[in-house]
Amino acid sequence: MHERAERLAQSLLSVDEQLEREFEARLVESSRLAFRVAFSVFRHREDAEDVAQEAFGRAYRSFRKLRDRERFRAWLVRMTWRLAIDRQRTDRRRALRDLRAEVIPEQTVTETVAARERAAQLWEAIDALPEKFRLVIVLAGIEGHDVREVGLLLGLPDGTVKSRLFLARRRLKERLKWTRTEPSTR
Amino acid sequence: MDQDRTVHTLDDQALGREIEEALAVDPSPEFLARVRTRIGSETMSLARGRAWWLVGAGALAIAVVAAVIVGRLEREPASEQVIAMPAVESPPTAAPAKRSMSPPARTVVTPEQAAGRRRGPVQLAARITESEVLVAPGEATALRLLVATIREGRIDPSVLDRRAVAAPLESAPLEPLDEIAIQPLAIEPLPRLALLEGAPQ
Repeated sequence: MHERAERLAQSLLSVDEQLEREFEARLVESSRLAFRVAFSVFRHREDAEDVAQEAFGRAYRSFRKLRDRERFRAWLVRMTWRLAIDRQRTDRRRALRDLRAEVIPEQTVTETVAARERAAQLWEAIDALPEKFRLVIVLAGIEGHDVREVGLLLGLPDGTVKSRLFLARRRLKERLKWTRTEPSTR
Repeated sequence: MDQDRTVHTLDDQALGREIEEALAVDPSPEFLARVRTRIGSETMSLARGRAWWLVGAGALAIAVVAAVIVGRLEREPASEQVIAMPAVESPPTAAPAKRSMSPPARTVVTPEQAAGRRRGPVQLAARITESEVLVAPGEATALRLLVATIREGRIDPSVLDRRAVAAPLESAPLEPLDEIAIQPLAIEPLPRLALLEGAPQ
């Protein structure tokens, strides 16, 4: 009887250990993805890390249902995005924060003022996109995801992803066209 | 002025590169450690919750088993009927029912009485698990005594038949019933009331 109880406890422990190991692997693999999705909303490292932490905490609680790699990443992206958008809406202080005041220390060493300006203009243009276009264009820009991978992350067919990417890029180009001009050399 | 400016239109590749560069930001080195710390606290709270859940489930299971056992124990004495062969000195455990003209009152043999009979000075006792028989305690005692004496051979059962034939029970003579006479009611007015109403005297 005791042996059976011990064996049962051991098997439960080994299942828990296995889950822990799998989650650790997912964490290492997807930490940058979650952070960058959150960063695309806040453009502030601390806020992005807070939201990404929250998303991983929720993912851990639901990990038994999310053990599949693709499912985990898709869930994580959507949860992180949703948490970031919700927090941005409720925190008016963040909405009023000036992007140019948020400096990523290591980037200021190499990044020129012009490059920072361009990045600021780009973010303004991305923020002006409808949410469904925003997420698609952001995911396509993270880790070089292609159309199929973006579709897997968002649970969308390839055709939908392509059309949203096309429309998002067109709007961005239109908007950026008027902000990126230089004096004629004539 | 505007015609002095050249408009640069981004192509898809250039736009994609710009977006990638804007997103090429890594979390701080402490990020993973903070996530692991948070997960660790989640694990502890989940384990505590699970432990409490197990304790609660165990307590519930014990309560259910105890209820079943107690229920069975309570049912056992009520379902047993003791047919005892009482000794001469075994006292009746219940007061005899009051006799009246009406049929004798039936009393239920309670579990305590049945248990008392089992514990009494019984020489031979047979336990039969069957439904209770509602018999007056005095009659039950008399019947058991009769059965015991017949088994011991102290009396001959055939005598009972002859006695019944020879000396039938005489019932007390019934009193004749008188006819019930109901006198008619005569309602007379009250004297004072009659004076007040001016009735002729």
